[in-house]
Amino acid sequence: MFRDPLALRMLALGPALAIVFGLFGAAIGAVAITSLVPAPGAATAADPESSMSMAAYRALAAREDLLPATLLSLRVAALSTALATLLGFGLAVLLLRAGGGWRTAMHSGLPVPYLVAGLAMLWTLEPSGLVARLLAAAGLVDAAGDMPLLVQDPLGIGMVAAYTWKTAPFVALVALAALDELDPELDDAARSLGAGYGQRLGTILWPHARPALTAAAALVFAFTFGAFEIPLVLGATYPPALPLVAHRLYADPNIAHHPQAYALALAVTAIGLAAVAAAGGFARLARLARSAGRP
Amino acid sequence: MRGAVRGRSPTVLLLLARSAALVVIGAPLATLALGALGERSRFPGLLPSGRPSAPWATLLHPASGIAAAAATSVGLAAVVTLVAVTLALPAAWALAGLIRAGGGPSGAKGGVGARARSRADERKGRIRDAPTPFGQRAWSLAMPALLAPVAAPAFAIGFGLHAAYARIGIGTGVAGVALGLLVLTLPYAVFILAAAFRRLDPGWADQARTLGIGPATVARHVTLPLIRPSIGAAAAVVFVVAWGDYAITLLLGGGRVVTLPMHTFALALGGARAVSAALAVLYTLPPLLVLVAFGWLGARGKRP
Repeated sequence: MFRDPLALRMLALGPALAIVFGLFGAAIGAVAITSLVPAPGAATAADPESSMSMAAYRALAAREDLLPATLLSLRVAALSTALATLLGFGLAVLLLRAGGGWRTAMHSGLPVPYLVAGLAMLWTLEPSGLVARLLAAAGLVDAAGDMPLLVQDPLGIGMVAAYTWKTAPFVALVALAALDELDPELDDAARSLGAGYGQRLGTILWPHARPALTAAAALVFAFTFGAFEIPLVLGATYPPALPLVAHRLYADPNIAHHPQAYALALAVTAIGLAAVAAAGGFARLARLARSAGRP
Repeated sequence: MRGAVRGRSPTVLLLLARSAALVVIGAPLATLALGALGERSRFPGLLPSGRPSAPWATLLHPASGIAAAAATSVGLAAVVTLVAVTLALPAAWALAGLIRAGGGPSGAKGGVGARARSRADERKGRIRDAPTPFGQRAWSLAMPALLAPVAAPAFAIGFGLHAAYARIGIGTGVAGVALGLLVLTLPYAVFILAAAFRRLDPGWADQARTLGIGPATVARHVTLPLIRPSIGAAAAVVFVVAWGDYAITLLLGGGRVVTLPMHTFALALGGARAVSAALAVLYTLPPLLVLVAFGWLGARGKRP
């Protein structure tokens, strides 16, 4: 068996796949099964199979804070993804010809844990935070209450700011990895042919970075939709973000509510997986389209 | 990394744009630093008041419990990094080979012996990188399976693993947290290393084998040193992700595994602004050091 290269490769792949696929599969399976457990009183011990029901999902859907929470999470994730992709690409373009010092400085947010990023953004944007004090020094603000509410607000502005601050440099890193492959002669040739800056951006840089950016954007969306550290620090009391709703249901002293937490976890996971699958679909289509033109 | 080798100095506009971006990126970091250096002054004072060392004295006091939490955080992240990279290396090597068998681009272009290889293939009538049905199926199964935990929210993995552990009989605790962090971080390590193996020119290993060196020695002395920068990158990413985790530790630790982020959040929630800022700074230092070390290791690895 050790002489067969393909079998050896499958063996080598085994432990990692077992842990990732096996444990992750077990986790999602457990989430699914636990979410189908019916409310107490409806199950009969003699026939557990037939007592599986969608009661938890119905109860979840009936929650009056589910729609506002879903809209908030979707809004924050979509805005953060859009801003991170655009600003991250812009940052990459700014850093394309830059030296190592600039690049390192721009990525100084990468090692900062998300909880710390949330706290730092809270203390920067809050009514008595750094930005407010700088504005006061410039004479634009008189008292702490004059600042518009940017953190722990119902629109999620603070959350979008924190997510964008953390993920735009990551998107920039991904874009730079793709753009660094480009020959700088290409850009010079375009300039000598009379192409303007916008043309070079749109015809050379953006298409080359787009596949990597699509994947990065999908990851950012899935992450910002399902993470709970930032909403914990920067979210308003109402509406809560979806991961926080799940946590509250999970920790609810009334255990009849626990299956709803699992149901919500499954729903959020499905959306995250769908986002990445959609991006993977795009990437595959793009690759097919490109190779179709080649003999 | 490309430096300013083109000779054309950046325009004023470009420098202004870069500086503006730097200000936006640096602002929250400045807030942290200012907050950690003394008590918060009344609005609208910009600089902190009081002694800068005061919050640090409170933090580093033996009764604060920070040392134990720091040890737990470091221990967990270090163990997860070691195990993840060790498991990811063979898996990534296998994945890179499957990609080749599955018809994906071989990645390594040219290089040592490339012309000889393609001539040999032409003589034998072999089509390079022809996809095999098994390879294609294995590739299309392995990729989503490995990518899924990255797309799933950490809290769902936490819920599910907690329930799965209960069925198997494993309770909450450090081992459960470590396993959960492994599920979270292995995909990153595998992808970074798989990319490195795909870029690797198989000519190096082939030449070593023709000299009669055994496969294990080839792996240790030829292949692994060639991908050392990527091993550093994978280790750095795994460490940063494991270090920054809050959800998995909270859900699978059962209250017995106390790490630095829990203390940080508790202090911040309690209103101890200066001390929580100081702890936030302390909590940020290890991943910063790891990334700096990786940059140094990576730069060294590029020199043959």
